[in-house]
Amino acid sequence: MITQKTNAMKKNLFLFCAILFFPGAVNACDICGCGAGNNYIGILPEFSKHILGLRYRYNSLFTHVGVGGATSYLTTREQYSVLEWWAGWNIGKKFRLMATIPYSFDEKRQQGIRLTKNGPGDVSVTGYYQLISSRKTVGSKLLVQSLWIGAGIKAPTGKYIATDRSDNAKTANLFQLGTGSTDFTLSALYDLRLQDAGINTLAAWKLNTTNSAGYNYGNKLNVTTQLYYKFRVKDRLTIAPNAGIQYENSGKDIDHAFIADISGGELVMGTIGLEMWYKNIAIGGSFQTPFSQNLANGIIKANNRAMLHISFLL
Amino acid sequence: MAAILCAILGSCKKNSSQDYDPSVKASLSVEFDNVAGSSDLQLNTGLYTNAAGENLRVTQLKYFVSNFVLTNINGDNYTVPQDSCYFLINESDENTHEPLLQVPEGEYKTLTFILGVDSMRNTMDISRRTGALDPAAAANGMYWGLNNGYIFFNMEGSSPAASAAAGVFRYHIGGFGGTGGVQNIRTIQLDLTARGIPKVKKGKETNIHLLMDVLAAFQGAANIHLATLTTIDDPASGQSVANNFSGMFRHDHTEN
Repeated sequence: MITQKTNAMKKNLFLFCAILFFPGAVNACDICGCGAGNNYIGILPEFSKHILGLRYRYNSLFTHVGVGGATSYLTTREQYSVLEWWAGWNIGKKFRLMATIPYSFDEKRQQGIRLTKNGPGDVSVTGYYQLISSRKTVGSKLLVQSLWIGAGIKAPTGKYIATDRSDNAKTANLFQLGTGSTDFTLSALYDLRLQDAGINTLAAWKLNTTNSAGYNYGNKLNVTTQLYYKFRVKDRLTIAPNAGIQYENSGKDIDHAFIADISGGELVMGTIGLEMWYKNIAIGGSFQTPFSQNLANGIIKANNRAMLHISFLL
Repeated sequence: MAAILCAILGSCKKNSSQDYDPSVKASLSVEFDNVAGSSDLQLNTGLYTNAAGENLRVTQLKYFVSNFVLTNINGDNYTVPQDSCYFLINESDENTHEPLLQVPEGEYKTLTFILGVDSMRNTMDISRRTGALDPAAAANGMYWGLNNGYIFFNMEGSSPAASAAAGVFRYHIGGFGGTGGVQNIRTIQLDLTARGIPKVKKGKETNIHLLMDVLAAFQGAANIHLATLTTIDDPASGQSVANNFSGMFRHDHTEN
């Protein structure tokens, strides 16, 4: 009896300790991220072998905002939803591979006219390597830190329609399912946790190339820092509320060697979220709201974003 | 590694390697998109409210724009040759909404033009006033006769506030400084840098998209009340509206 209980406790403790946080794909949808790209993905539970999840992301923005933030008849509300499968594989203790297969639902409304575009987005694969992994006891508490670095590639599987660029010329070139280009990501993830309270920081760069239609989306930088605390409820349920801040920066797009003035910019968002684990199922969500922004000289205005996911630790 | 470094330092700007040849002329259109506040202007059907709270509909809108000058990013001005630089914008004729200019290749930061027709051209012989300026054809209804010259801005419509004139208002605003000396010519200067500068090069289309807000004619220097100012048909009575002209135009975006 006693042995069994100890084993169960050990197992729980292992799971408990192993629940460090990890980003899904850092390169998300750089188009609908409206120049400042890189949607917030959320923080995910650690897994020993494989993880498979289904994630829903939503964001909306106003494009073609008038002079001084005014609404003109050209002002358009654009809405980007992504439903995506994502998966992670651990290879040994230091390597990890993650992949994302998105399907996008784009919509824009202007003066009562609604346009939609649905289809597969750009798939991506990222490899990670764990550079630092340490745990030690500080007083009576456990101090855990880890640093992962990653490099990824995003393939142009989402449709980029060059002729839509001319329609988009009035505003930012966002209403596309994919960039049409092969793009690269570099990322670093640092997690520091003292027993149940932690801080998680992600930095990611996305380096975009010129697509076959001569359009080059600006490079993107994304830095996110979050504080979290893990509560254990009864035996196997863990609840981890989190809150943080995200900074996004995007360079200007280049269209056939001309800088696209209506692109690029920066955005600071506040984030709150909740992650829960029960046995090998993880459910989480987050909400983000802009704190400050200057996107495309004020011609684009980002609204709130949300994310929900359900994931299975296999 | 270089990519990582420059991304980290944020100093890695992609270069636009565009060469312009100022000796080559290329097309640049300037679109006059007529609106009423936050709505696209709909002749006859759209119901709008001016700053004085009066409801109105617009049945006709025509105005002259001329004497375009473009200032490039180095601060040099290019004046479009005057003979090819008079345009009559007519809301009911879409073909008139986008005057097409030929300007040297380059990037421009300021657009300047006249709302109306300069006084010199007003007094020129009829043989020098052809095309959009021909009083017997295109400019029919936009000309008072030799001394008063051209009507620069012609807006007609209906409003319950215009009860004195059976619900119809007529704003014919002109005055080049001839008889009576009233001068209602207004220079409009628009900064293009905030909303995207035109990058003019041969072989590509570039369009400066302006919004012209008819409701701004009723506010700015002074609020205009249709109830008290129902009919304008001479230079003197059009002065108060002309003083609001500069607020009617804004640069919305540039299509490059």
